[in-house]
Amino acid sequence: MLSDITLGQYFPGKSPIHRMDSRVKIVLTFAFIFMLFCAKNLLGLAVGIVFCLVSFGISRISFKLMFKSLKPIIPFVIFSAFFNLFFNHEGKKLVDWKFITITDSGIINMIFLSARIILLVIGASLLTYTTSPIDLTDAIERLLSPLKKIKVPVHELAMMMTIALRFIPTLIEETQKIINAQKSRGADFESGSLVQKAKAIVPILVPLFVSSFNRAEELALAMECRCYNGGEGRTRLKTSKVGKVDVAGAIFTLLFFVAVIYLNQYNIGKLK
Amino acid sequence: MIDIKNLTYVYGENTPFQKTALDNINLHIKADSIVGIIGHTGCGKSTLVSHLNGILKPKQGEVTVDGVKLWDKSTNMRQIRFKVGLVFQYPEYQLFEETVAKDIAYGVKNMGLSQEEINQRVAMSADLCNITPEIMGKSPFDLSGGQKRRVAIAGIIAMQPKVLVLDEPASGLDPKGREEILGMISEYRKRTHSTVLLVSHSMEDVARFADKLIVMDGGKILCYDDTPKVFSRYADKMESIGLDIPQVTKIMGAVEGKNVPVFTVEQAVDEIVKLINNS
Repeated sequence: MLSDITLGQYFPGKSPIHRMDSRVKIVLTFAFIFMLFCAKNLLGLAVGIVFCLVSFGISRISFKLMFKSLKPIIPFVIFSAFFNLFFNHEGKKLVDWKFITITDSGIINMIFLSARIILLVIGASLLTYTTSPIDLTDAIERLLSPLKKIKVPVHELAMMMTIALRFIPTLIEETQKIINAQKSRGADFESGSLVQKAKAIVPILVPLFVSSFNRAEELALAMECRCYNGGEGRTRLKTSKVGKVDVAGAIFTLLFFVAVIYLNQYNIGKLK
Repeated sequence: MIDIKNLTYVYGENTPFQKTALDNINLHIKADSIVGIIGHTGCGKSTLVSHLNGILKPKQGEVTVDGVKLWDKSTNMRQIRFKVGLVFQYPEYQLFEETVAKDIAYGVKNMGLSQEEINQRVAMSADLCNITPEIMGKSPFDLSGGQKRRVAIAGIIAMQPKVLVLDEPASGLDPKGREEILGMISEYRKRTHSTVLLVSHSMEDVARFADKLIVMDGGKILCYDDTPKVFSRYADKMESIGLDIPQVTKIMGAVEGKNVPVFTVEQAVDEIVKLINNS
């Protein structure tokens, strides 16, 4: 059950998207999100969808994973689509039967909102699928480094994020191990009242806490042994530079962006 | 006692990390025997034993324990877990109670026995595992590594499983700790005549304790036979996958210039005495 978590999981590969500089990838992901909100009609939205699908295709990440990342937001999408469809009463009425009123602007709003949420999640998962968490936090640190001037502890924040991300799989594995061990001792997590179920979790939480604290202490000690004292004067083993792939990616995104803005002048399925 | 048919298990199916951990395993283990399972890290030993009490669900094939087919609709998996006691690698991380006594009682309590029966079983298990009353009152987190290990195993033994499965029970312990753990296991078997499966890296340990040996490699069973036969017949095969026969066996082989069925230091002593007397 714990192995179903995919959001924020990295799938190694050698595609152009994998090879891109993670800073550029983050910037382009934001550009993509901005693009989605710039699109004012269905044509622009279609361009956004094409951009997303093409990018996914280039990354050679299976489309199955794309749908897997969408699973958790399905209820949210359905909920917002429902409200847009039935409670938006602006524009031309298409259906007007008893208390149900559906208007053309309601339908367009629904399409836009659902598509935006879905594409947003797909774009964000493409970023995390193709970038290792370490690269990601590194990129965030470097992108935010100008904030150091106004005394924002950027390095410390990035280090905290790196450690947290690094230990998610470890903790999941550990939790699974403890669950298995307690199950082997006849622990029952499924049946019983709510109180019993809550009590059944204690044999998992206690060992998990104990080992997490031990691990934190060991990690702190190991870092100190290597003379870690924060980000000051620290250099990197691998400094990624902006290269050809990144320029190509940026141009690719820019072309789609221009297309979206150009298509905004048409009046097909315009968002009101 | 245990029947495994065409068992296949795959980790991380449909992801780039996909790995076949068990590949069409067939196995029959008789009641009242000690079976050693040896093989390299990642050869599927732990995955195999996790199927014996239904912690993992096979992708293909079936596991039958004591006539009960696992994962059948009518099978109560919790009852299987009381029948097959599984001690995982580094079992000390499963300790959680306030006192050692309470922790040992956890599994037995889950069986739904009477308080009297629980106390009796805990006492028997503590006695067998050499856990003194003083330790029983302590917090499990205040114990040494070897003591923690013993308490964790005692928690499983208290359930008095018909099949006791231990995944590297002695790993990471000093020689004295190893002896204590292995002594506990053979004592438990002597008293209850249960079937024991012992996963180990140490050829010396399995040579001393196991009647039969399963050698695994790459998710498959390389050989499964009586311990002396495995070491004499499959020595070359085992060396080819990087496993070793016990060191004494090698030494005695060099002394006598041929393969001899000597697997423990005690046997070697007898054999050397015999050789000296003969000459």
